[in-house]
Amino acid sequence: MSQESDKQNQDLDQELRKVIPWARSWKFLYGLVLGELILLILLFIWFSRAFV
Amino acid sequence: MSWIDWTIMSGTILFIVGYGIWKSRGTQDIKGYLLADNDMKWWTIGLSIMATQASAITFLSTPGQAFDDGMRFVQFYFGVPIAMVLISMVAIPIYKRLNVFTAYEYLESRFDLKTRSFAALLFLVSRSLAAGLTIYAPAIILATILGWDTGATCVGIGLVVMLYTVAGGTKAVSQTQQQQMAIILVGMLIAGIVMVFKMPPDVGFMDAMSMAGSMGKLNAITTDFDIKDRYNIWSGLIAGTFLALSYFGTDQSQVQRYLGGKSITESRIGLLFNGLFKVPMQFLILLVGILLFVFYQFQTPPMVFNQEERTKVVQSEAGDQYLQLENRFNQLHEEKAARWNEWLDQGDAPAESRDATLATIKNLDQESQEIRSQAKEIMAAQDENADTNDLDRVFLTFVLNHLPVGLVGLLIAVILSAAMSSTSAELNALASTTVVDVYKRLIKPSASDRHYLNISRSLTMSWGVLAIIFALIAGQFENLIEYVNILGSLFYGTILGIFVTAFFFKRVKGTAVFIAGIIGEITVITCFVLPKIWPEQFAWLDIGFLWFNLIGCVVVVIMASLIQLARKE
Repeated sequence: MSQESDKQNQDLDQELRKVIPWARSWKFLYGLVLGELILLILLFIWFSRAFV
Repeated sequence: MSWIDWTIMSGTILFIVGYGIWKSRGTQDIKGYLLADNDMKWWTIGLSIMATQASAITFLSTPGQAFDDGMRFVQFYFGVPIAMVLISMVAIPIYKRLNVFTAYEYLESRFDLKTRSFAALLFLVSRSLAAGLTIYAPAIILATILGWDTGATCVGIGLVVMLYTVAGGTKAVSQTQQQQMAIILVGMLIAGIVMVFKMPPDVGFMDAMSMAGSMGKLNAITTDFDIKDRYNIWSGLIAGTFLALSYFGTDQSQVQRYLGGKSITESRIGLLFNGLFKVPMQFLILLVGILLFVFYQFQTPPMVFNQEERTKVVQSEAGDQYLQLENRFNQLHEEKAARWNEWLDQGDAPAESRDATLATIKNLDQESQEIRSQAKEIMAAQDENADTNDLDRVFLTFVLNHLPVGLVGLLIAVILSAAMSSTSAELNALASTTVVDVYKRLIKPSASDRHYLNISRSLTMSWGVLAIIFALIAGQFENLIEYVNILGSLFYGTILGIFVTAFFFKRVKGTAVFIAGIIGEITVITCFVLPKIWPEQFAWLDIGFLWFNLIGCVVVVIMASLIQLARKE
């Protein structure tokens, strides 16, 4: 079951690379979206204080 | 508006409509009409998702929101990236593998017909009312400010949307939304740039930011937790995630955008595209509002932006009192502008003298705000139905009074494009749900593809006509907009709870989740109604609407699990 799931994930990662070659895997892309949110929140915290 | 503005506005709208019809020509079957032949690329899906959510009111009221309350509204969208990741991981593979036409179709394969019908019904009720308001809300503002007839504006917007949505279905909706988003982004960017150039010559972008920051307008992050306040980081991240999960994961007007994807990959990337760009886009729209705030520190703004209400009150017996307030407001403003110039010239002066000038500015600003409130009180006293909330007119007032000829037409096209993009997605989704979840499932299960295509077109047209009729009568009822928005908030949590149970609680069956759904809905409605009837006894229940999504969802999941345990099936 686990092997089957791993194979499915590998197939999905391979399909992703066909569309976006620089995206290594889905985990990478999810990390990118959530990482951007964290960076934006940090940026906004700086922004809230920088011009006071 | 000049003839140049009219030409640019009509040309832009006609081009978008023509492009949509041309790109979706030759649709032969229901799959082509409702799922765009499963041929959509990720960028079309991503832009389409963004355009569906961004209604005209988004572009009319968001800059006004920042003008009045600063940047903290951006926190409302913090749940979107989290929800996009979760939906991509969980919902999209299931929807795509089952090859469903609507999100509710999945509920029958997972639970039963009654659960599917219950969720579809909640969607049809709330979205059909909302579709009328998506037309009415911008129409009333455009009509009053531009001197157009409100009814004709509603009918005009509705007919143009119906034209391409009926003709081309999902493909036409998505193709036009690409163009509409492009126009919207270009228009807003130009508006922001013009604002910077319209400021006094010695005031640059960084000066504008310093001015806004010193007045507390750049408050993008608020860490104080208040359950009644929608705009803090906690409600954005927690309750905002539940709202976004419900809206993007279970509302057919959004689900239909990514069901048309060529593959799981294309649909997922389309959603993640929205997750990447939604927060920055809202930040930039709010920044336009901040620039507007700074612009109006040097240019005298109207004391009240709703000029129709001003005219009414000036002509009333309280007219003199109102005009006195207006004179005082204008005097205060001139003094404030002079103080701002002084503050900017004090760049190298000791901090104490700059702070003293700033303190004077804040006092002047506070007095101006008090006068504005008094003016609105006079308006309300003269006419209890007076529309005193004028924040959604701030941006449009700037557009009409300060943008050069040509750009006015472009910005009106932006507002109309936003209205059209949301309405078309709503009509398209309403028709899909009615055809797939009601007509094909319950009334006529076996008919030719051609028959279902014709029914889909007829239903899109019928929903369009209903939306126009609703938009036309909306103005007759007080507080209708508020009630319809509340209605949507009351249903979302329950629907999300049903879907979360479907995805993650494999042992729960149809009857348990159906009963839990009804209990969840009663709970949410009770939470909403009790503080309205007994405000003192139930003040603790008077919470922001955003939290109803979480309450509804949690109640359904817990109750469904408990009922299933009790039934021992």
